Amino acid sequence: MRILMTTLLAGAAMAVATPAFADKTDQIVVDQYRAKIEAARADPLIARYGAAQLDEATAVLPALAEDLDKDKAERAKASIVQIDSLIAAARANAQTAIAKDRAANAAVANQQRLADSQAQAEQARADAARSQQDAAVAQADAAKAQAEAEAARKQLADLQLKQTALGATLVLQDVVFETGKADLKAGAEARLRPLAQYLQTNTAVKIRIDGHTDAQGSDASNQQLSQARAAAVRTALSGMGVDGARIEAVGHGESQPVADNKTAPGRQQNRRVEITLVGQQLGQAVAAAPQ
Amino acid sequence: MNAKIIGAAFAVTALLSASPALASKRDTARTTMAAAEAKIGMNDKQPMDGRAAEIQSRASAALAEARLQWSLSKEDKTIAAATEASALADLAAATQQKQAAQDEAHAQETALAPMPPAPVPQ
Repeated sequence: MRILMTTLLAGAAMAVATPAFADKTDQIVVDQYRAKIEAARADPLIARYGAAQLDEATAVLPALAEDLDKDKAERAKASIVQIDSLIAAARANAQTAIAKDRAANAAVANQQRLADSQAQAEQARADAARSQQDAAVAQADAAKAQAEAEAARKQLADLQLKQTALGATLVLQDVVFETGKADLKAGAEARLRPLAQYLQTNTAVKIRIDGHTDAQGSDASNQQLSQARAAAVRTALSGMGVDGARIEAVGHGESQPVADNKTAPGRQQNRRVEITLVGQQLGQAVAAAPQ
Repeated sequence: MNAKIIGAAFAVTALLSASPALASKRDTARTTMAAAEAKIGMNDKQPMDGRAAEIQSRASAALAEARLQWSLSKEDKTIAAATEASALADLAAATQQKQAAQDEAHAQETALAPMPPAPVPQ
């Protein structure tokens, strides 16, 4: 009897508690979905790009509560799917926005790289064109220098050098000087220029300038004239860029004739200035002329 | 007799008063299903792959269920299935957009490879 009473009471209690328990369970389910929506909304990006979907999901919550309350399982399931889909769509929208942002940034970077590459290519083309121009100028300069060197070499060869014990010697006759004076005639420098170019190219070569006169006039005046003429040649070469320290100028007066002073042609030969490339062989000097 | 007439009258009245509600629910079912059909149809016009295709497939299955329930005149179940189909179709579209955007971002980022040197005039 007592057991029966207890069973009945338990049954009655269960009958009373079941709807309340069901209501509580329904509320838990709804609260869980509300929490899911709010959790998604807590993400700033989802809140920004999925606001419409989250609002719509929130709006479905009362319908879910009602469907659960009325035990409409299919509709409750549909509401749950709807809420889950809306939350997922909100997330997808946020991820879409992030991806679009990434794509836009990468596109900008690509554009910048393309522009940089084009600028570099343009710069390279300009540099190449300038290099070509420089090369052409250098080539022209080289050709010009070569032509000048060839001309100088030819002129040096034309100077009628002769080999002496001292070296290769060039003889300037008195025709390059004013009569009785040490001043070089106009045009005399043109004859010295190939020699100057040779000396500029062959900087180790030293030269010696020997001035000579004929036997007319006093020894003293001839000595002085020969020294002055040798010095004039040195001055001219220095003016053409040859270091004066490499040049030795000596006057010999009438003491070293090469021809008979009794005849006019002999005296003319004796009036001379000899320029010697010290220690140089004749062929060597011509070959070493600027190329 | 009077009781029978009164009973019949009550029944007709109840039927008449219930009909608008019934018609309204059927309309809701029809429009909900039509909306889902439109969304799924629009999704079908664009290529879908991966996760988006799976969701679209689920949406189509839910729509088929809605049509079945509609044919059985079960409006509540029709509305439920069509609502589900519609929500899934929206999600499929959003997922496809996300995938497309991510593919585009990946393509742009992988395009950051070094460019070949510009030809230099000889």
